[in-house]
Amino acid sequence: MRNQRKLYGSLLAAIGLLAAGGCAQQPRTDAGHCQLSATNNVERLFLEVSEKLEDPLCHYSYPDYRQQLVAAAKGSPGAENEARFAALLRESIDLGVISTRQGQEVFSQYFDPEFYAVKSEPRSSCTSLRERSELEVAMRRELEYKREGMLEILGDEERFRQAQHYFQDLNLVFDAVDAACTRST
Amino acid sequence: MTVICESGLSRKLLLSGLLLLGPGWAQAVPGQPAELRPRINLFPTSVVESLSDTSRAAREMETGLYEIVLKLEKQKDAYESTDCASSDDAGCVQLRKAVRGTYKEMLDLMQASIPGMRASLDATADSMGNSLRSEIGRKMTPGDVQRILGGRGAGETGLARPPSGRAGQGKLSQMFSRYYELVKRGGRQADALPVLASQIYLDSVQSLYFLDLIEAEIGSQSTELVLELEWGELTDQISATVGDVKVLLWGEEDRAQDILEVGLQESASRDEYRDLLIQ
Repeated sequence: MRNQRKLYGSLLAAIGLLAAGGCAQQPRTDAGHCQLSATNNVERLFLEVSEKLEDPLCHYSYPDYRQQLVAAAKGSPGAENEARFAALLRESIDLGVISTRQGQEVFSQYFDPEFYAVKSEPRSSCTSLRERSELEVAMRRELEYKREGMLEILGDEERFRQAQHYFQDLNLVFDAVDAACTRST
Repeated sequence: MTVICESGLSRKLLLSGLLLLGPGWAQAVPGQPAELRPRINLFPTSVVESLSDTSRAAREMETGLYEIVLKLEKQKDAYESTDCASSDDAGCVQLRKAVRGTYKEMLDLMQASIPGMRASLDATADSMGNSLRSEIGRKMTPGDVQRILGGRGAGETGLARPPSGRAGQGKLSQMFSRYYELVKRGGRQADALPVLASQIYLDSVQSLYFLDLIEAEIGSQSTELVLELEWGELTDQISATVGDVKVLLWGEEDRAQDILEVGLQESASRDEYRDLLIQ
């Protein structure tokens, strides 16, 4: 009986130690671990994000990083920001934080004058324009991203103007094609 | 930047889109040679002929109508500026009678011109609509349209895009005549043609709409009614009809906008980011 108690005691102690050891292997949850410093220096911030992403535990903070980077880049607009975002997106793809498609989507939405929402529509115009309002909403939202990306982050008015022209011309053509397709049915 | 989380559906569509599009479409990017871009035949002979007919029919309708509308405008201005609406003064009665006479003249002329104009506009709207439906609506995805619009070379001014509505374009006949000319010489600038075709189609449909409105108003205001009301007030209906005729002939003022360049400046080379762009 006494031996049995000793055995139970040893087992409990062992479980306790294992548990303690197990806890030590859990992700670090301290607030400062994945946080970025409060700097407005865009280059330094991109470097910091790059370093943090080396740690898989910080991948969860990726959306926050992007928000902070966008905010910082807006404070210091310039053509060089495009390369910074492109490099970070490539790195994020390589590290498996986002997929290639996600990277292309984000980059297109912010920096390509053409509309990703339009490119990614696989159906014929007549069919896809039955959901014209959804497409229009997506294009309008994307134009907002482009305004952020091209005007506020890059300071590239000409490129944003080109995106606006696409928006205007596409909507005119979609209006006419939608009307022509509807008229025939 | 919360795009990634919102984009699951778009990604699926894109993947299917890339599978469906194939390599031929993937080559059709801004700055690519014309032979690699999606081909389009929006203006078959029937469209060109109906544009020419519409221009001629509009010119016939306009003959005489401008002078009548201008005369009517002057008479109305005089009527309103002299507060004739609430007066039985002999001069005012005479002015009312004159306005009604001119108005009747306009209605008669419109009534005689509408059938020819309608037939011609119908033919243009039908042929242009068929063309848009078959060439863009059924054969192309919205992405193909975007690729065509993106085929503009650097510094190319392209076709001067007709502004939405007809403000600044002048007469209805001039608008269709201008469309006819643009279509005739527009073959080399295929990237601008979807926009031009869309504008022609929407303008034809809109002109038909105003023609319908005018016809309905004329129908409800028989000659007898106009004569009966010779001594009465000028009605809102008269103003509305005159307004619609003006819109048909001159276009809506509030839709005026600058003529935009269809040929747009190409942005700086983006080869560096090609891997991050969906082609």
